[in-house]
Amino acid sequence: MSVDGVVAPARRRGRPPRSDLPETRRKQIVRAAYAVLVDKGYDRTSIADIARAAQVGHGTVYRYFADKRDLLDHVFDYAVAKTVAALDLNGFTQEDVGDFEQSLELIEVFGWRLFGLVDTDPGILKLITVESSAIDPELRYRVVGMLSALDAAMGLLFDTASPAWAQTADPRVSATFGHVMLAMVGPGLVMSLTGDLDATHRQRCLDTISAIANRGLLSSVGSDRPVLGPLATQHELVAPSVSASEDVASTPTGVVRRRSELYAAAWSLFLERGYRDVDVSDITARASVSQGTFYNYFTSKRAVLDLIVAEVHDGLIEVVSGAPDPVEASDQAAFVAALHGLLTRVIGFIARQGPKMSFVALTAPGVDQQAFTTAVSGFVRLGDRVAAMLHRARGRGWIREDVDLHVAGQAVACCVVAAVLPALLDEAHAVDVDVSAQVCSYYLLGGMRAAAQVAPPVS
Amino acid sequence: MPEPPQHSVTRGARMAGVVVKHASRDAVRRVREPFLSDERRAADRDAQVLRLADDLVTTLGTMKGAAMKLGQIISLLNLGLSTAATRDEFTRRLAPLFSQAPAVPDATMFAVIDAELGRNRRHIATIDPGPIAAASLGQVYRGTLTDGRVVAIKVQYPSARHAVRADLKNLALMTKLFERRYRHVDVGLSDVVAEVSDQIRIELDYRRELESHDHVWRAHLDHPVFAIPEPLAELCTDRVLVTEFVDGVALDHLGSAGQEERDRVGEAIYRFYCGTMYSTGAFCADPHPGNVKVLADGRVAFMDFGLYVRMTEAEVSVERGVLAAVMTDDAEEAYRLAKAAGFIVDTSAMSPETTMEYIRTVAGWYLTPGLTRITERLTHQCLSQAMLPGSDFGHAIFRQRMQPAHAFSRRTEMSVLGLLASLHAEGRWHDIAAEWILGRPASTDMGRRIADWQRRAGGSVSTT
Repeated sequence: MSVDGVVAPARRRGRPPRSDLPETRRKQIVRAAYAVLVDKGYDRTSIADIARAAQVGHGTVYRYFADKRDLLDHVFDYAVAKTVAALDLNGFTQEDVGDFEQSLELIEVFGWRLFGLVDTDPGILKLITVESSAIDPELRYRVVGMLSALDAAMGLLFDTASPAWAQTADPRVSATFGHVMLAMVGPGLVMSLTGDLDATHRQRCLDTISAIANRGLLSSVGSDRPVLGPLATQHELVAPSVSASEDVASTPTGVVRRRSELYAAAWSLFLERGYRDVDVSDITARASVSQGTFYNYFTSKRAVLDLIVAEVHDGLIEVVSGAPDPVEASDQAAFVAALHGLLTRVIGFIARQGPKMSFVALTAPGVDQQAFTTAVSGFVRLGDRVAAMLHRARGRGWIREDVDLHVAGQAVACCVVAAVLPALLDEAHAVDVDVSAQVCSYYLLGGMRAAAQVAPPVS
Repeated sequence: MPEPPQHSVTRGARMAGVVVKHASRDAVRRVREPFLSDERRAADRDAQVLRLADDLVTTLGTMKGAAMKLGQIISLLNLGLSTAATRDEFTRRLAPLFSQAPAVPDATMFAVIDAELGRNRRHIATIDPGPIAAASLGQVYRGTLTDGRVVAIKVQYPSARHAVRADLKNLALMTKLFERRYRHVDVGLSDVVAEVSDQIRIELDYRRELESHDHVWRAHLDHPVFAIPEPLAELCTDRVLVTEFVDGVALDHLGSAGQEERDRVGEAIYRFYCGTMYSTGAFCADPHPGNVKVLADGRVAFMDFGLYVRMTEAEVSVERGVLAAVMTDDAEEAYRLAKAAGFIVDTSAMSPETTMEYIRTVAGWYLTPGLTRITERLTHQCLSQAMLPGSDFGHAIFRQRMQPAHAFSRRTEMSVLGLLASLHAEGRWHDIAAEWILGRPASTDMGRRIADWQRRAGGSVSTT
């Protein structure tokens, strides 16, 4: 391995650091490495940069760490520890979710802690999520593992606290409920990632999330609170489509076979080894074609990545466009049913994507700054489409007046993604589309209490 | 549909109730300290450990890679739970970790075989579709070589390596971040996690297993009782392990066999797993019913050497020394050795007499002369009597240090006890153990046949 022209000493990766070296020096190097990595990204960071930032010699860094990748592991640990401390996750107990009002307050509490973290450390969240996820498969598993643990901790918290308002009889409901609650950080997170630090915007964001969590988006018709009746079910359990990763037929139509094979080869390699470590020569070898052939069909490895992202994005748009427009409904009740139908279709689509959705949502955005910007702005545009729909529905008197629709649109999108969170995090997980869609719809339209009361028919 | 989870305070109270019942039922009571405070302390600690189980399921449960392995090992560790009921509850709570991930499709696994074996792949004529067993971190297939031999092909999941390494790193980090919550549990969580992580990392590399397997195979060539399937080194890589297929009767199908047969198989199991513990110190630490089969010719076959432990000479000598002292009624010597080895740190809590009693209780089944039938009840009694809070050592043992190196040998013995219990095997375990610990001559027919073989094979089983 060569770093800045200097050949690194041949050491086994992951060898535990010598215990006689001062801990303070180690921490100093990790802190410096963190700053450099956040600033320049993994690829453009060299050991020399880190040594300079830590004000130690080049060789000193190597006494503590085997190589850049080894350092990255420690930086990851450091960043996660920092985040946990800033959010004070350790101080969180089941008493905090004891009653409904207290639970609602948590939105403000955690919201401002998150904003505070982003203010002191703008790059931290991006680093421990999408950037790490894009570096190699092991780190991707670390990110996914951390998110899973957070998600499960949420579920466990509500399980043990067992507050009266969140008593769910069906474990599938409580599971989905947990994911959906976690997803409410989404709009705030997007704000932070797009660099919107405005305090008024932040407060408006938290207010809208709280309003939705409190009683949902629906307006009251007259003086009565809207009653969410039972929603249509389709009894659809989407098992992970393992062949989706090799599904040649999912490539854009009208494409010649060889292009499809190269596309499929590239996709399986990205999945196995992570985007960075795959070369064009690997792709052509896997597809059993000569090297030059690749460039007859694609301009670069990056072009294939963009196509994969576009494939999922286009598929999503198609599903949404193909569904009946909820705003064309005759009354609020019909609007609710139609919206639920739409959410069900979208959730079904995402669940069927399997690992591809996970790749597009978690890994692709971390590949480089451009990919990141594309992903974030894509998500914002998606949110705005939903917001436009909500705006028209508000015009018909069905959506409450006192919420920011820009935020609400993103909240809807986050909710939908979160409903399938376990499938995104664990490729083998089957999604119960019905339950997920119901919890989502009830949450968005009626708030947390409504969502917790979802009682799907026993299948 | 899983039953709805109960509030943790209710669970804790229920456990305390169980502890009280146990204490009043048990005959062995040497109450020196106030009855209630010991019990309450034990119940509190139990509740903490149970909470740890829940949290482990939370942190590990969604991590596919290492979850099951970690769960297996952790459930067997002696975390000092005070009653059998609590230990059962602990295991039960870890159950979600053991749920099998859906089988990875053959096509994916066969692709791993192709990639790993390269040119040597041509030696495999056929692979039967559908895995015959799940392995830790992989699946096992039955196949046939071009020369006609039937083989078992163990293949690692393609993502296992990355997923497991990632899981272990996350676990280490989370242990550090949240260790504060478990400070009262006092098991040195970081140490346990580190020890367990090392073992799992070793299991990731099938070449390590090949080494151990090969060593054990060579050491038992033409053995009259133990049959070890031959490993095929040329077809082994870090993610593929090919061994001779074993055609035999699984342990759980021996139910209809007569007592004599079950005793015979029990003796073979005891001799195989525990025999080398006190001599070479190298032993297979995963006695699992799935790893034992009885062949048509009566020999007992042992498989799976993924968890092969090698104790140092010093460690072996301590174990042998302590047990020899107990067998010869030398309390002072047993105590001296245990203390010197660092087992006993709080001497005010553990006296020589107490130490003796404790060891006799835990290992009574092979330290007490006579014909002993191993039953489930006996197994539970062994453990519960040893950890009873109302008794002397119940409280005292919590204060002593768990030695990671010895955790595996003690655990292996417990697992063997479990296997013997499933067979309701009866035997003179003390006399067999005395062969290894005191150097006494072979005490059974099987022992004599093995001793003959050892002489013919040129001395005892080779040291590592």
